[in-house]
Amino acid sequence: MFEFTRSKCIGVEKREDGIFLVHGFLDDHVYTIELDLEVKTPEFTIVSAKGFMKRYTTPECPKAPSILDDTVGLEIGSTDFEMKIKKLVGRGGCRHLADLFIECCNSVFPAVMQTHWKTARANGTTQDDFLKELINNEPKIKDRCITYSRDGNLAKRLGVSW
Amino acid sequence: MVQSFVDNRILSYTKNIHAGAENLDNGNTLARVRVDDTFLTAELKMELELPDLKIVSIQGSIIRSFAEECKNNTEILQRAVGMRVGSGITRMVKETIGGPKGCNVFADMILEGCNAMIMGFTVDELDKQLSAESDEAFGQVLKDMLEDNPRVGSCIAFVEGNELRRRLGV
Repeated sequence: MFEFTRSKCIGVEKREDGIFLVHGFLDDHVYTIELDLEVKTPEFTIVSAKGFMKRYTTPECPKAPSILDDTVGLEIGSTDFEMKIKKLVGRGGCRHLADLFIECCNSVFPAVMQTHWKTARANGTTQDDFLKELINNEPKIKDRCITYSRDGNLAKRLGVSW
Repeated sequence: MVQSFVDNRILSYTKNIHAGAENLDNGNTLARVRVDDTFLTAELKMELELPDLKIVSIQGSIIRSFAEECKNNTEILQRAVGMRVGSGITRMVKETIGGPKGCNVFADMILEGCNAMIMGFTVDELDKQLSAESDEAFGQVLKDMLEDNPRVGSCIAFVEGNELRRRLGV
């Protein structure tokens, strides 16, 4: 019977000093991997990365997380960031650890957005006004997908253009 | 001792991804993916034809999203029909399904489904390898894997001249 399942869970918390702590967990038929990242904002640089291979396939696999020290200082979202991680953490260590690492890094920007939204909502900002502000002030979101494209229905509905 | 201080912060963001693959009675494989995060919930199902690993059908939906407009993007998925899982699939999916005229959520979910399907093929083989009942038998299994596998340099286990290779004399 051909069967495979994989679960990945990511949680991000914000520390008072502006550092975001990311905890990632991957569990599938073959591997169990844990990862802890610290990311400094607003620079989005990795300040620490620790991993743990809990279930694996070869005696070399548990050594893979040692490569994570080399990711310290990298900037999330920089050019070819994913490619760098796939090469550095994936080929140099474990591609499943690299997969979880990229997933954790991709969770930092939405976590920052959520903290801003929480504050804005508490101050009475509507969801549409928040989106408008986000589109106007965040270059990363402009034209990143069809919803946030300049020709999209969202831009028309909110009356924003760029 | 009474606990007076709890070092616990409410999470800013959470994300859960679940991907799975299974055989269908018609000989094809079905991959399922579900994403649930602070801003969005999405589901995807795609059928892949074997042995070509070609996507023959795909359905998905964005059930919940921060921008309501995301829910209207399901047609984008049909661009994946006919794609074959293999070399270059990551770039093709990111450029065709994702990007400024696509949906990056669906692109990531398709790749997650493809990965689940590929991993599915390795489970049975790994199961046989890892069920070795002695250290000697396990060593032989690892040796065979390293000798038969062309993935030199694909991860730490396949690095040329690593401790495992030296120990097993590969």
